[in-house]
Amino acid sequence: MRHSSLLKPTLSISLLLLIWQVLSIFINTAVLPSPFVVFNTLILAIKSGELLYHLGFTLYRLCLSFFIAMILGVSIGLLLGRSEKVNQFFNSWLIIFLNIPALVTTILCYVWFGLIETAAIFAIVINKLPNVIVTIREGAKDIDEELVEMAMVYQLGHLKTLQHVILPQLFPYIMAAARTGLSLIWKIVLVVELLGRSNGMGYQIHLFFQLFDISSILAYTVSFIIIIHFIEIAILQPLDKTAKQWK
Amino acid sequence: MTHLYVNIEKKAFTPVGLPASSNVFSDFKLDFNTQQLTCIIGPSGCGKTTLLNIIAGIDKDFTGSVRFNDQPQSTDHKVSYVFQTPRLLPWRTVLENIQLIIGNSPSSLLKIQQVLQQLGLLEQLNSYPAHLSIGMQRRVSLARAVVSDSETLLMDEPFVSLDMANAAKARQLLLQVLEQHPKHVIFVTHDMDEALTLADRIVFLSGAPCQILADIPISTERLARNNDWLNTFKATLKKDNPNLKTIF
Repeated sequence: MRHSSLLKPTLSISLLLLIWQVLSIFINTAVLPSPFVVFNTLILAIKSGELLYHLGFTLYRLCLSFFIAMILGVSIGLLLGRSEKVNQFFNSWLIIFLNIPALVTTILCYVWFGLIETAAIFAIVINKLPNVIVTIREGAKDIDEELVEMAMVYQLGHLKTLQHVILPQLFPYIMAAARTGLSLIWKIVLVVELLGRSNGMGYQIHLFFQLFDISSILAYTVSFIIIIHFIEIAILQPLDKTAKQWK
Repeated sequence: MTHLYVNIEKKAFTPVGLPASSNVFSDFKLDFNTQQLTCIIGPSGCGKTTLLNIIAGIDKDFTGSVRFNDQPQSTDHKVSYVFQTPRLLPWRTVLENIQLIIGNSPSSLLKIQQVLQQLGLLEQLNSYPAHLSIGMQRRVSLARAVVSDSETLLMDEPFVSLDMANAAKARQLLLQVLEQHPKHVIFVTHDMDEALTLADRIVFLSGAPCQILADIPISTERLARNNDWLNTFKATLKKDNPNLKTIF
């Protein structure tokens, strides 16, 4: 079992690389460099320190806005899911915010607050928040009322009820929001950096686009993919496992 | 002697999708002597669970009051509740479920182990509820209610899904555990024999709006309540209270 769980993804990634290699040989143009060229560019970018510098900034923005959006989203989602009146009142707000394009909120944030770090973080949070709220709201509607009553009878208090009765039930929804959130934030961070920051992956990719440096664009993308896999394997999957222990 | 006074002036119930709301309780008064085990019998849907939920403080949507010794109900009157379903937290072990209520000091650990041993659950101390049978989960729920430092223990048909032999066993266990941890018990059931074996007092309720049909004290020692006694008692009860015919 352990072998096949490692073997299958390795095989499928190898197949993808093979298709890429074959295509680049057949097409033979500068706009589709082969995996080897991209790999070399990646190594060079790491050695020069340039990639790590920009990746660091992007990761910093990603983490900060991710945690702000998750904490706010869980709180607001819980509130909306637990109170039908509040939910009915704010539902239309949520639909509006869900559907404003990331580009629009980003530009507005830069125009209103200036080309500063806070504006960038705020723009990312605003884009991510509605998704978290919607997911957590569904979870909050599914909370077992009987267990909440039990907590009430035994006078557990708000904090203990939240920690031991509510949050464990929300956990699968929080994980779902974290996963979809992470992939969404990656995409938004780059747009935000491209439009108004002078460092970060988005800024670099914009630069490579102007220089028509496709192998650098692909090299940066590969570094992304590696990080995403690392987060999934080292953080999200172990979290899933510990939470399912009781099943 | 301490008392628990329940006074429900009005409790309405609006069925989903129906415009008219009907009163489950109106001008309903019942007081409990807290030294006693009181059984409540009534037809299904008459409001027995609602009554317990009001006493427990879960249901606050009514006019009236629940008072303990003339004090307005406050945090110093603690109740514990054995619900119809066990209501254990599935992500906590048996021990952790109970520790959530009474803390994890060494003394409470000792108390928990003692009760679980009495209920034949000591080996399941570190099991998760999903790995226990429903009967075991019910016993854990009972253990949780008993070790909590509550004055009043509410029980809502706790043995309803057990077969007759196991229900009888569970009743004996309940009485044994209560000897170690004396509590004021309000026990809702629809089983006449169950009420007669357990109660110091039986309150018979009518269908909605809920009224007290009869309030019968039982002074016979529990050990002396054999089958003959049960039959004689039921016959007399029937003769003396013709209005109870719906229950029998």
